[in-house]
Amino acid sequence: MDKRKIILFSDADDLQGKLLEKEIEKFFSEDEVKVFNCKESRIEYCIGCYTCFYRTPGKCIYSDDMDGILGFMANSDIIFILSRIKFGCYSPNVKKALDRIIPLERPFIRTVNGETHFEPRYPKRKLLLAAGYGGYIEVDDALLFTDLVQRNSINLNADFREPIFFSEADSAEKKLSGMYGDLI
Amino acid sequence: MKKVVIINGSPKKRKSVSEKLCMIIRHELFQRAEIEEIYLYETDIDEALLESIHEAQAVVMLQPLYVDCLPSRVLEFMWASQEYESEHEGKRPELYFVINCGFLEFEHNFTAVKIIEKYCSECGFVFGGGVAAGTGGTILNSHSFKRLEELLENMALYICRETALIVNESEKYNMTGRVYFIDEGIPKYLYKARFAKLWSGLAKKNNLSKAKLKEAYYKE
Repeated sequence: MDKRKIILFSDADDLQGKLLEKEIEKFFSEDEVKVFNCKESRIEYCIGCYTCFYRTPGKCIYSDDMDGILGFMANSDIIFILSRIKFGCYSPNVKKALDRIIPLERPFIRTVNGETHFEPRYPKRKLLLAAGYGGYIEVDDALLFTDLVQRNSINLNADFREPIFFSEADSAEKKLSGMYGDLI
Repeated sequence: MKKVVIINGSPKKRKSVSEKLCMIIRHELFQRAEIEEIYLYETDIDEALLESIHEAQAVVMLQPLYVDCLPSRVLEFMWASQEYESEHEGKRPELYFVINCGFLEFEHNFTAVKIIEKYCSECGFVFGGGVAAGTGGTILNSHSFKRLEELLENMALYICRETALIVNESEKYNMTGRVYFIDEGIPKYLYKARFAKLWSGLAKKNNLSKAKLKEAYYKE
């Protein structure tokens, strides 16, 4: 079987996060995993200029660490988001990277579930996985995060799977096997 | 007078749709409140800024919807704000918001609204409510604009409701925790056609064909 291309967006900057990052990488050890630590990378804010739509189609105006990642992401099989959660949402570092996905879309509209969305620039259908961590995650945070990931899967042209939530005491390996064991 | 902090969370700053919507609110608040304006994308999120915001009686956040959520800079502010609140006893202002989404339907804003509500509950802020719009900037020139303008005006009047002269008017739209959703409500095919025309027109100015706009940039 060909190695799958997996991009792991991570904001890990502490022991828990770094361990989870390693465990996820290990879990998909048979595949080609590119870890993109959003906290340690140079990422400009998306300024909503839409140059990537009408001047340099598919190419962002910025040449920073997102450039190579978008190239990898465009033809990847799995997008995995590992993020600290607050208010049921990604951390700002992860969101800063996600705000920059516009070049992967086309300036034309399609309808999905009765809503208008951009057409994907790259036809390859992906799988979106996500894991939230950080202290005690309340039920409403988890539900909101799940909702957000599900919505993002449409814009990322990806199938959706329920996210995993890690508390500090959790065994990452067991949870990954339990939730995503069928993927390896 | 009540101190109201207006936070513009658009990276386009003064050229944004958020700014145009902000003008309507600012106009109503003028001389009825002490206004402080902050452009998040050109301001450091430091202790002084957070103190100023947390000491206000009301905060109005205006931002576009980015990837089904609030822009990252707005999240940076919210995270810092929550940390500040956990360490300080602020006045816990009422928080109002305006979100504008570029897609046709206002439903895209649902998740972002819930995130703001959660932020309020974690910071102990009063969730004042807000307006969440679809259709992007074109709503400013549509038949829905009058209604949108009315909602924003009434939100501003509600914020400074203690001002005796406007007590009765402010009762028209009691904002308390209410969220008003609005979009242009045109058929999807019309929106699609308008969108395609806009980008194809811009591409033409850059000597690009419609087919070129659809091409993949990164090859497999």
